[in-house]
Amino acid sequence: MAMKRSKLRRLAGFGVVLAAIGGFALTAGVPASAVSSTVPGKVQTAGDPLNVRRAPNAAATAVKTVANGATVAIECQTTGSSVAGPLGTTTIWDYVPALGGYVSDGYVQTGSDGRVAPDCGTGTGSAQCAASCAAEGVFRSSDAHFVAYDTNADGSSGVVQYWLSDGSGPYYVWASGGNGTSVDKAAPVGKGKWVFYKVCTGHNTSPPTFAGCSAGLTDFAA
Amino acid sequence: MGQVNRRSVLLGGLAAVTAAAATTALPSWANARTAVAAPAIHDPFQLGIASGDPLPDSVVLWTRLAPAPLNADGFGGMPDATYAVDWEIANDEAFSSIVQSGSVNAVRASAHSVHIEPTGLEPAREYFYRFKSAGYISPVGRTRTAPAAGAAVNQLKYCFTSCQHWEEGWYHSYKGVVRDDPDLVLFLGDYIYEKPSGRKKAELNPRRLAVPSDTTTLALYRARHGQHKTDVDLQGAHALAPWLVVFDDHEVMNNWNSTTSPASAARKGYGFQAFYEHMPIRSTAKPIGSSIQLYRQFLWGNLARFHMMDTRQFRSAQVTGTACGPYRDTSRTITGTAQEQWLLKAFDTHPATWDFLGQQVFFAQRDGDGDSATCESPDSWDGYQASRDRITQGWIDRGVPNPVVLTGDVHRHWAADLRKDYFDHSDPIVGSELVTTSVTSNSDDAAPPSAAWLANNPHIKYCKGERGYVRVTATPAQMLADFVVVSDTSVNDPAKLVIKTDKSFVVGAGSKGLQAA
Repeated sequence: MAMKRSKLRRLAGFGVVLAAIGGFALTAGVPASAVSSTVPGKVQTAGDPLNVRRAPNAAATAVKTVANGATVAIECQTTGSSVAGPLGTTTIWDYVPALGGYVSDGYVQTGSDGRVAPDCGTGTGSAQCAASCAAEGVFRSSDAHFVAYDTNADGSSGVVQYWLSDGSGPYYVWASGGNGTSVDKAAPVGKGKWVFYKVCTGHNTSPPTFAGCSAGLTDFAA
Repeated sequence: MGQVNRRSVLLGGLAAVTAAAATTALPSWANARTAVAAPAIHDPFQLGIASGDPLPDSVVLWTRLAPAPLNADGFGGMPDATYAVDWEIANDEAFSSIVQSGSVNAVRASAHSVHIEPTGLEPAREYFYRFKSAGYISPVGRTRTAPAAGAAVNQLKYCFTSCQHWEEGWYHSYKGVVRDDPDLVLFLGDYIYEKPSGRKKAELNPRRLAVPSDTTTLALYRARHGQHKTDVDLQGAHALAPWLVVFDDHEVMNNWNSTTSPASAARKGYGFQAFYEHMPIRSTAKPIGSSIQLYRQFLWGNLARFHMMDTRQFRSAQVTGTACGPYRDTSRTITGTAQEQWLLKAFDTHPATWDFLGQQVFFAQRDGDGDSATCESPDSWDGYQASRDRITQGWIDRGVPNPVVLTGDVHRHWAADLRKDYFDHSDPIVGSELVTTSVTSNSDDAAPPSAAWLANNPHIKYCKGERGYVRVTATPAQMLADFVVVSDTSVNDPAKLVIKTDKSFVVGAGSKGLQAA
């Protein structure tokens, strides 16, 4: 046919450079940080400090505590194990990046029994656990690292499986050193790009086998 | 949590919580159908863009907003809110000369997919398109309109593919398609699979499904399509040219019209809905419950006509066994009566040199023992012989000049001549069939046809059990079919990638039968 062909080689793949002339007013490229904002909450306990947990589960490792009455900046919320706190029984967990983990919403005054923040996976980090938290896994958005934890002497390793935005995966981060060990490893997630991951217990064999896995979550590199 | 009304929580349980929540003002990010601004999101163009179903004045433009496309809930990371999606069509890929633009709403009920069907475009030319939403701009796609009816066309080059199980390989075939730079791409079914790979050599599978559950819900079909659309080579091929897409069985489930375990109406509905949401097809193919209008025709000037068929939805239930009675039962159909009449009616007119029947399953007979008293392959047209006879006789009676059947499904390349009676090896050739192998789906156990098998099926000219696709170059004088194979799809190293033409055939216009090229 007598139609003029444009040079499409660079169109076909990725890294397509967006046109800077004509068309859409180029206010595009909203930085990922624009997605992120926090909601304040106030910790309410019987007076004791509140455990901050690595993953949204009462069985997850307590990574630090926060004082009764403290104000926390909630980045996002997710569904986890059910907890009966002084404010009621709930499966909502609040992610507080400044504390490096999750607190049960049953101990946090937010002004609502429901959700007050978006689903976790906002680009500020997140965590999941599997098999009653015998395996825990953290995604650190700031430098796109995964940390896999083996927290139970059950003979299984803890492992993070992750998938990348180019259609590849899963890749693995294994904590195979036994109970109490962890492995911190960089993942090739570009700035602002997504990564989907699951935390599992399993065996680092060839091929690997998995006993139990978390449901999976998407997060973003900062 | 809220501080108040603890008593109602304790007494009323969940219902009271729900009621309390409902009376609370919605936060700005939630349920923003009625909100002025939808919440901010990450770059939603993670599934690429696509175009399809080109007409002389129109082509469908597609995208879906999904900043987190693997999420198991099928919503792709989109908040429950409506997002405006702006679109532009331009003469140039720099978008300095825009010919049309507009804005549509992407809504959660459609998994934030959008289908733009512009009209008033010029025939036989390329256009560039892109989308914008939530402050992000999509990759740029190139597409083209069909030549006007009757317009003289010197050449049409298209590629066709099928069967791309996610786990069973890398989509090297689409690197070849992109390199070929075709006018069109045809996809003949099994774009997704409803379940994880069952292949014996599982250690060769280089990828895994993120959400491996069998797709029994709309959410799971959406998540499955979403993962497929993350493939960079697949996205690249969609960005390059318009596609003509049909499904086969695995977009719903294996052999979903089988006699033993047919899919429920609900499951078909989920599969069709997710298929529509992810394909650049027209709103005429928007499913209604468990029904979808997928078969359709496209004309490419005076050179080619495509009959894109649906041999799944309307077929009589598949038979089992080898007794030929039900295989030849004239009351059974693979197309359904309406589609058969639609096709035969089209055969009455001859607007183009080539008639390509883009469809799912093997059309020519494959009879291993050469014994007409036993029958096999009930899933293919062999299982619906009366249907095949009516279509074949239909194009003969109506003088269709150059019929060529295009097929997927079987995970091997095949080329065949078509006859009315395949047991009569001197019966005149009345058309040809080109069968593309899979993009990835395995045929680990498939042995090449034996000499005895080929002797019983002399109309079969070629079989190759490797991965790849078929490239067709049609002119007014001839049709060239190149059977392209790719190197090991379990290896993703570009340095080890080999894409080559394994075999080529030519059919001369006006002369039936494949000739080795």
